[in-house]
Amino acid sequence: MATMAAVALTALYALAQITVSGVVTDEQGEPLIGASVAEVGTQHANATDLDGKFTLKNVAEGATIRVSYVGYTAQEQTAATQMTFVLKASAAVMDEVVVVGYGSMKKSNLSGAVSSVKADELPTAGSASVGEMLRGRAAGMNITSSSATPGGALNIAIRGGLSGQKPLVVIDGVPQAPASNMSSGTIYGGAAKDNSGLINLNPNDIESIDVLKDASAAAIYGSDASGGVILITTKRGKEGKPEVTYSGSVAFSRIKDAPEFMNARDFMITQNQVFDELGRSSEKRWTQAQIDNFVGEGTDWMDEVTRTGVVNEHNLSVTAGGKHTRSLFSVSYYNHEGLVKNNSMNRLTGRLNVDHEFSKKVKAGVNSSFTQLKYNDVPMGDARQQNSAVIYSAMTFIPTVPVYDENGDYSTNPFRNLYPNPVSLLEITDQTTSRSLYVSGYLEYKPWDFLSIRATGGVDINWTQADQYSPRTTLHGATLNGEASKQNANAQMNLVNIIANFNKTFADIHDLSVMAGWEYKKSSWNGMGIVANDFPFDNALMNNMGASQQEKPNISSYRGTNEMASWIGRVNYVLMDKYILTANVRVDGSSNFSPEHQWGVFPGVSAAWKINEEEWLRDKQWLSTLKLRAGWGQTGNAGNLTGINTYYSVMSSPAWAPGGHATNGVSMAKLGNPNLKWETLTDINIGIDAGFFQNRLQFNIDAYQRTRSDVILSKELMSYQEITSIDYNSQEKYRSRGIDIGIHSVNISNRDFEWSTDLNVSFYKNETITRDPDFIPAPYQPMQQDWGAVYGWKTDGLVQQGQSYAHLPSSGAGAIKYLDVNGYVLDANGERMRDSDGRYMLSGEPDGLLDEADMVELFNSTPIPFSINNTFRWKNWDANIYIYGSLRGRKINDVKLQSVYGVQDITYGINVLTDVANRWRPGNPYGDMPGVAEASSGFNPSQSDFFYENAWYLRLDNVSIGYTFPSKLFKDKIKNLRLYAAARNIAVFTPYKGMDPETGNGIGAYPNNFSVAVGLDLKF
Amino acid sequence: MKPYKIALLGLMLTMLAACDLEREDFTEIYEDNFFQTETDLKLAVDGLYYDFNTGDWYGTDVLGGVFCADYNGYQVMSDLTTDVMWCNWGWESDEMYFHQWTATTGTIQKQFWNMFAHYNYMSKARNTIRRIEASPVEQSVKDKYLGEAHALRGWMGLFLYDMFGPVPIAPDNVLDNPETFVYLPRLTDEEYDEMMEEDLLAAISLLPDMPEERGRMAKGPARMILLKYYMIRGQFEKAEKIARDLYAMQGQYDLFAGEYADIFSVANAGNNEVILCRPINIDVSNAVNYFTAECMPEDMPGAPNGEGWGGYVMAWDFYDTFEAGDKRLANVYASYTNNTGETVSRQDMTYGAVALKYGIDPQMQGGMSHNDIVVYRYSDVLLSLAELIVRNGGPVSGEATDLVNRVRTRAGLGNLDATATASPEAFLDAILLERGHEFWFEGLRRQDLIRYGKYVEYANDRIDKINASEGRGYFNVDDSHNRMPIPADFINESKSAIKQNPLY
Repeated sequence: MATMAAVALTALYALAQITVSGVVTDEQGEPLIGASVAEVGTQHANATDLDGKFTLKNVAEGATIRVSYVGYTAQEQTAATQMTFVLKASAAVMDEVVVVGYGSMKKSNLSGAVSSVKADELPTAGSASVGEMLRGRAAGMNITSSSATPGGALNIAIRGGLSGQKPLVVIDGVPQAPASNMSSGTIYGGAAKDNSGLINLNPNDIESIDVLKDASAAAIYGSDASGGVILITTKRGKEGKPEVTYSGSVAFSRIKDAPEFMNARDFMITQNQVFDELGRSSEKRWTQAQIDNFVGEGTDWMDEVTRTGVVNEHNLSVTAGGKHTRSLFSVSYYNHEGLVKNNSMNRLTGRLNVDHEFSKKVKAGVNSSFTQLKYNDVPMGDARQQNSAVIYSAMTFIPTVPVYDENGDYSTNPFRNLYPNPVSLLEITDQTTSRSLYVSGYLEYKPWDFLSIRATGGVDINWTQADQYSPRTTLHGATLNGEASKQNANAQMNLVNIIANFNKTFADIHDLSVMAGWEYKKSSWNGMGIVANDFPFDNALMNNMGASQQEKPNISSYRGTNEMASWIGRVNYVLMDKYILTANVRVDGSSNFSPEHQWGVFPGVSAAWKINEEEWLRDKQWLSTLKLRAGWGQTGNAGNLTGINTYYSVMSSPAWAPGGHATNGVSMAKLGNPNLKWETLTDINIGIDAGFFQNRLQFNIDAYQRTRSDVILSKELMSYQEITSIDYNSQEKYRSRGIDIGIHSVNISNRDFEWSTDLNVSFYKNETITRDPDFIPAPYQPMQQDWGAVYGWKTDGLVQQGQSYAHLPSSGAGAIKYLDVNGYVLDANGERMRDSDGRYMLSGEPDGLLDEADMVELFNSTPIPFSINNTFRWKNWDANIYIYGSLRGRKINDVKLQSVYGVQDITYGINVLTDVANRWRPGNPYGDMPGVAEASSGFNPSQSDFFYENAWYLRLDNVSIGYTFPSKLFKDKIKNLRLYAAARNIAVFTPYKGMDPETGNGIGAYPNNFSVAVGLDLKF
Repeated sequence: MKPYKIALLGLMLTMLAACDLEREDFTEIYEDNFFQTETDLKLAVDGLYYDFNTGDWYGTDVLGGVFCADYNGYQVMSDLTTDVMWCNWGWESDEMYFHQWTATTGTIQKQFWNMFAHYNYMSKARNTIRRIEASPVEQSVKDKYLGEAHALRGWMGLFLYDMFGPVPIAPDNVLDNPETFVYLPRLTDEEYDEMMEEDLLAAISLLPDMPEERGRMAKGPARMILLKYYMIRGQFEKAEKIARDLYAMQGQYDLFAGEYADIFSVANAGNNEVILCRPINIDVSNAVNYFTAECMPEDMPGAPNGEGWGGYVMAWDFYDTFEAGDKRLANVYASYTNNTGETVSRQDMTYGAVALKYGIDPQMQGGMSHNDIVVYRYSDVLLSLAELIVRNGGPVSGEATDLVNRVRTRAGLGNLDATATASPEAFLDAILLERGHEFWFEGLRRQDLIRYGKYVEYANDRIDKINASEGRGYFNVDDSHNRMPIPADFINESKSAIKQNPLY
């Protein structure tokens, strides 16, 4: 009994519990917030509060308390009622893990050029696509929006885009199938859409993004990687209590860069003037009384077709995990009502990521996501005349008429009833729905600690349906008695790979990892489409196409497949944690080539030296990181051209109706080149990573050279041949050289206030360095040519009254004065002589003719991408200011060129820019815009410097402020609540006078917007 | 992992990787599968008709079809650079009407380029002919399609020669090695003659008298093409012989019995005066008649669903040369009542009379009319034969005069008066004017004026007149303009093996 009592007492003694409290700070005495405090060997844990304090109740006396915090070395102490933990910053503070393709690596052990972006560093408010959010975030990755439409296309160019290929987007190890834009097959279509694959992602699902920039890193993806690789890792479930995260925001946007066109009265005055200037005074349409008595400004068509844009988004994600199974589930809703009426984009996504451990050795998981994108498009584009789209129409439609005439019908242009009323174009139904299902699963077997074998299977399926109807209320619809289009396209990519990873450290200093694998990919696509007109009624839209009375509607269908197989290998060796060597190789086979040329070998090798780990630098306190990297590698490119077969095809644009009956013809469509082989990109990269003062100041600088050879091009054959081009491996060589610079600085960091700055800037130059032997350069063209060089005629103002120039035989007063600066060398027969390159020889003297001889290099327009990001934290407040842009650019002001050069169109009632008032005319000899005479000069002003403008720009893209409520306020029921407000695209600093220097391309560009957003992030 | 599993895996991988990778595309028709049956031959030959299409308005096609209705069209270029046709749109059309181009300047360069670029059709047609010859199909079937292919090649050869003079033609050995760059010079006139005769005489011998469907080649069209070629070349004796062969087809072809204007109507599509046409079906995107829309004023009533673009007009100076009562003016309006009931009179129409070759198709949809585009007519045979008889030293009176009078009678006019038949020169001049009146807007004026040596002379008359009245400062032009300049791109590409037309 006594024994029993003793045992019980002992047990009681052992169960004696105390309340432990204490504080956790860093070496400077600053409290560490959110450090995890746990009783070792139990589930018993808590986190430090805002003052770094913690309390753990019911801790067994004598237990061990462990405190850990990211970036610091964990510490253990025996439990006491009052405890103090002073954590030391861990040496591996920046040792994040970076995904490098078929595996991951410690960032400090990287030897290639890789940029990493953490998703939570990106401001999300109002951005549809991860691509949009990534603009300027990684040095060497230049992302520009080619259009400001909701979900509009992005150009992503990694390192100058020399390869001409889009970057490969790899999500959780499975590459995405490339998508393509669909055409309605009618005269109308929306703006090009973002088909980078990034638009399908819910930005909130993303954990991190890694960009493989050079071939030593990207070669592991072989031929798909010639445009660089964007690796996306999605969030996964974590062990612990379920965590629910909600975020939502709403943004309102307003038009920002609409060009200024004339109001009704100015239009009338200008039209009369132009008739006078053309010597056609008798055709003037307006009397002075009509002009004087016109009431109001006339119709502002841009105003009629635009509205306040609204973006709404809601995201919900749940993570949960037990010992063996962890999962993440998320859904999101994104809806963007665009600036142009009836134009919208809507996205729904759902994701389920599950990981399960069957045993210590076997693990499996599934990543699946579903995305639905719905676009309501309005006609976009640069077409003129009767095919004019909404924006071009809204700019130029005659301002003197109201939207509707007295019968309630859409007003027409009284001068020429050819142009569609801009508001009528909004009656066109144009819907595209794209659904994609993306599922991948893996099974990992880990027989020993040092070896794992993982098999992955993935499938990416896309279904796209595009529907369009132009009703009779539009001019086009009226012409055809309604026109309907239905197009669908399906694409599927199946992928399977098996990868083995070996990882072992020998004798403490030899760290070796080896990866080997095999991959197979098959893509298939098919689709069909119908375009029909002549419907008895409009109300069924495109949903009852059987009602069409058209004799031969336009029908089409297609199907195709291709295959690719690869062997992959990589060896990574680290000696003494100082010297790093990585070698990889990929053997790719592509069905784009005939069997004897199908396989290509693409190796990469790189090395790095962590200099700061050397004895002689180790104790330098100010230096935290110094690493030198060098790499060489090759990637292949199977090209977009698949011309190994000679074939005939049914001729695409019907043109033949013997006896009035529609009849198809077949003609040779392609000349096959069975010798077509892989094109190769060879990269050299030298980089340096340096960090000072506990990495508070970091530099990442990479210099590179990329050469593209055996370029697969379509070769122009002699123009008299039946087929005038053939796909071939050109002897042209392209080269890109550049420097990417990234600077990260924590300017201020203390308990209450933190300010950090990131700066990225890239310089590059793309050149053609070798030409094909058949190439004949233009007289102004060097054999080695900078891609950014713009060639054209120089100008010197306008031709004035009484002046005439021999080289401008048809240029009257007010025409552009192009300069005759050069001429050809003629032989005895009066024929032009050629130099050894085949180029016409130039005399260096003006010859009284304006031609190619007079063209010179006018500008260099290669962009210099630049961005600067500032983040601030003051107590619970956070703020961000983000600016990006390009420090160089030259661009034709297209709207101005069209309006000024085409000023004669005003005689048909087409409105013109207010700049046109400043044109040369007899009463305004000091006008600096050309007058009506230019149009009959016989020269094209876009081939001169006249309408080029300097177009560097800096966009103040994001200014946001947020407040995070302390969880204490909610008694820990809510872990995190953040409210924020953001203003987007607040200002663009640029000398460019046209529409937006980034998105304002062409004469009918979608206007860009300024927006204000508010949102909240909630976690519980 | 158990060894057998590894072995199995290895085996699986090897099997997969050992296969050749395969690509499929079901829209491609491969060589070993084509030119095997009569249907294949028909499809290939039908493909050769595409290039002569009436195009989409403003050339959305890669190349404007030979008969497209905009400035890239053969008929438009052939009339708009002469006294017959002017245009309300100013700008480029004035460049054409007043010949304001040189070898390098003028926005019209784009049109020259588009026209010249058709020259590889000669290679395409030649290859098609050779593929038909090599095909395993029965000879009698082959002959039928060979005839069409030869005639089409001749047609394009005529168009190119008419515009530019001889162009480079690739011989078979050059066609067989398309990747070898051979810098071909232009053919000489004699070589070009030989090629044209080879194709067209073969066509005439192989083709049936009348086409199976309107728009297809037959003996008549093939003869007509050869006749045109001989006349452009000034080979009047050969021309007369062909003209007589055509004339002998009377019965199969004849002057249309009804009104002149109805030759071109939708209802009379395929009437026996039309020797060659481009058949229209507005459901076929490049077989649409946009020509009427180009000419019809926007405010002209007559086609409820149609639209006019108010472009090409008959220049007043030319309009005024018509005799009173000429029925060929039936669809030419010096004034009209517009759709709001107002009268639009000559004073309102600066550039010329509204001239609707094809009348107004009441079923017109937007800019699309249903009328076939007429290329060659039997009345041309009559007027050409009359001209050739006299050019070859034959008498004015008798057959030649009768032929002209037949055409005049149909136009509601009396016989040629005495001054017109007084001398061969007067008679030829009368025929030129008669041809102008008979074939306005049919794209024959340019070659007629050049044959008479008056193309440049008339252009300079127009230039002088407008310079005097409006002070436009246009430059005068020389005989270089009898041929269009060869676009610099093609000369450069040939490393100057192609020589520019003289005087440019």
